[in-house]
Amino acid sequence: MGVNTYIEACGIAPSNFVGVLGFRVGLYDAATVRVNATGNISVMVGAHSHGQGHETTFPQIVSELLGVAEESVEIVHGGTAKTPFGMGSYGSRSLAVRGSAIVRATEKIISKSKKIAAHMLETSEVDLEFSAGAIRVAGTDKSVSFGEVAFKAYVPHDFPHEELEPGLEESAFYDPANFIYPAGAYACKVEVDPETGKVKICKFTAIDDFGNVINPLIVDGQVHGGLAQGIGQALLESCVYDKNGQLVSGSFMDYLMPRATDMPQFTVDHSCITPCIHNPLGVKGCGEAGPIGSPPAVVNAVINALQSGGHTHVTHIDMPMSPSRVWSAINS
Amino acid sequence: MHNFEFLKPSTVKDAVAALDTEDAQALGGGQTLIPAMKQRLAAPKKLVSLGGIADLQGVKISGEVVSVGGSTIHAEVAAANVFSGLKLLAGGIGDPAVRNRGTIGGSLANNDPAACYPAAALGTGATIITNTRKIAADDYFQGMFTTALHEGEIITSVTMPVPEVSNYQKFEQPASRFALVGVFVAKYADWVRVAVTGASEDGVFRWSEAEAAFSASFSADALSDLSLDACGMIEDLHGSKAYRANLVKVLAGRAVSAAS
Amino acid sequence: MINVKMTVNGKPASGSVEGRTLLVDFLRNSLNLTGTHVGCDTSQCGACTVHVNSKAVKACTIFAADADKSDIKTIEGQANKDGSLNFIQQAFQDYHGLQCGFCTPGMVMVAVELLKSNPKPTEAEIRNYLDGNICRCTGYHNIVKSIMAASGQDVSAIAA
Repeated sequence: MGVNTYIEACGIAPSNFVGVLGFRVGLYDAATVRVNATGNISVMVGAHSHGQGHETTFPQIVSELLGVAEESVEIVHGGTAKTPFGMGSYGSRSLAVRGSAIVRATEKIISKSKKIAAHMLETSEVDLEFSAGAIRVAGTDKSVSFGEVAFKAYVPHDFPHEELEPGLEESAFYDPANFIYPAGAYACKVEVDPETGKVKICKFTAIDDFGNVINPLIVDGQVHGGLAQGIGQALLESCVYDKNGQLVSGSFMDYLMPRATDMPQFTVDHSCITPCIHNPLGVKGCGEAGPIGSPPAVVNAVINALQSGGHTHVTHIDMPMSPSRVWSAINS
Repeated sequence: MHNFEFLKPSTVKDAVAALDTEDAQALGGGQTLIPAMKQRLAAPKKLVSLGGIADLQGVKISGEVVSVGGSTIHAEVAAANVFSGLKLLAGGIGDPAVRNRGTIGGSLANNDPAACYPAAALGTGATIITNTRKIAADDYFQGMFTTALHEGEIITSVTMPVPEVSNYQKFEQPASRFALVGVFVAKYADWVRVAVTGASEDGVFRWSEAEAAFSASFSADALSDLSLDACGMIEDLHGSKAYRANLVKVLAGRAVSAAS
Repeated sequence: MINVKMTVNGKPASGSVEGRTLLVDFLRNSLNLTGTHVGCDTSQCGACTVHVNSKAVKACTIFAADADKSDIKTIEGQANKDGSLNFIQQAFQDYHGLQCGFCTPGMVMVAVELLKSNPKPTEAEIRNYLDGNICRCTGYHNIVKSIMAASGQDVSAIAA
């Protein structure tokens, strides 16, 4: 049995901090929220989505803030000709940094919507409340729907143009105040075949505190994939060069990608929630937790198994702990 | 991949005629040859697919002998009512999609030092039957990627005497799914054969000391005083010579214990 | 050049290929069926898995000419007649069995073959059957879960 706990600094990163470190970029991110005349919404974001589920999670944020259907929110990504300039998807930053930019831009949309609604309802915007897809005069039944506001924004026949711009589109650049710090505890149970050195993972449990969770299914999936990557690092994967510098693990004939049979059924849990205190979503990153938390748990489990099996001289094996390395350690 | 002329004859006779030119090569399931051609490790001018010849297909079980047509895919052997060591071996080659294309003839003709089928053929004392002759397995395997086959000779079938009990233990190279080491054990009335693949630089071989030990006592304990010389074993990023020699002994013991 | 004729997803298809043209290239480049992916090109990853005469094979490791006169099924032929997802595809969606989706066509084609021969596979049987299919995103957890669910088995006991 092996256990590992970790705390990670991710959600990179405050630009002033990385500047001090010598990075030649800022690590803000950006979003543009465009409410079309039909009420459908396009959100242009500065990072590519390739399986992390941005198209699912980001609309959830906008939908909840504006009270509109998730299906009416489209995420546009993948080219700076169409999107604001962002800093990409890595370092568990997409939701914490870009998601926060989406919140900021959506808040501007709400603010602009109130201005338009105030004109439509002939009232002052300070008297207006925005909730559940409608803007109403507080304490009355007078309201306009968000859809009506959107339409009005693009058909501004009676706008006082010196005070109120047409259109309903806002951008925000968000620069985080701090890193985010997800933490977790991982446990792994293994069986080691001492005659061959083969390690079998019997059970793997990953418990993480990711702060608020927008989409539990996607977070589960991110952890599952991360665990496979970390277990792969611990047991299978490495780039091997010969003495002439030739890569000898240059194809999947020799590079050991984890297969379904190499992986156990995982148990993951993120019900312990300590929200991040400095971003508007209260979220922490989940993308790298798996590969950070799992390798030490696996290595600890293998060493623990060998020691409890009487091979007390084995205190360390380099990753990846291939069968031949484990066997050599036992017989050293 | 360099281009080539492709032919798919429907009779052995036509295939033999098609192969009778320079740089012509027979194509079984292509699961090794096609990747090799992509890397330009092989560049035949003419490929003759043996997949269209009905006579080369199928598994026949008659009395004491199992006969497998040269172009029979691994999945078909694994699904047939053949002796347990063969069934196990065929069902463990590569992965399901590879087993749906790869053929016994292709495997034996290529004689990859880590392929599974050479262990079954040598471990049962099979007869490799070609379009011109019958070759005993003991004469057939002549070192890594080398066999007794002549240019243009086609494996039409392989016959294996049915053992009393048999087993195949394979320790997979986890990336390629070839055998890091594989050991085939077959017990007959008066002798035991032990064939080892994946381990030796000379390709598949019989471990004669283990055969003698198992013939005297068919149990894993019979190996206790034996050890295999690591000299001549394969060494690569997946395992040292000593590790492979160890695996041979471990797997041979397990094969005997599991034999049915 | 060699003239080939096949049935692809129930419809006749034909073309002219070189000897070296791989089935996957014929499907993708000549027939424009780009749902079948090329992942590794070395016969390991299984993203290119299609059915040839009802058997799952890696389309990167069979020549188009060798598949002449065959019955080919690709991921494009898996949806129900009304265009809705078939029960395996639907299970992948319901149980988050894909993330980037690159391996998914191969995973589905292998799962279709598995459930045809083994309608109620165990978890171990599913994992073994996926031996020739690599996924970098999911850790296989939800793929296995999706296939179990598609086979009508209760997956509520399988952890998240």
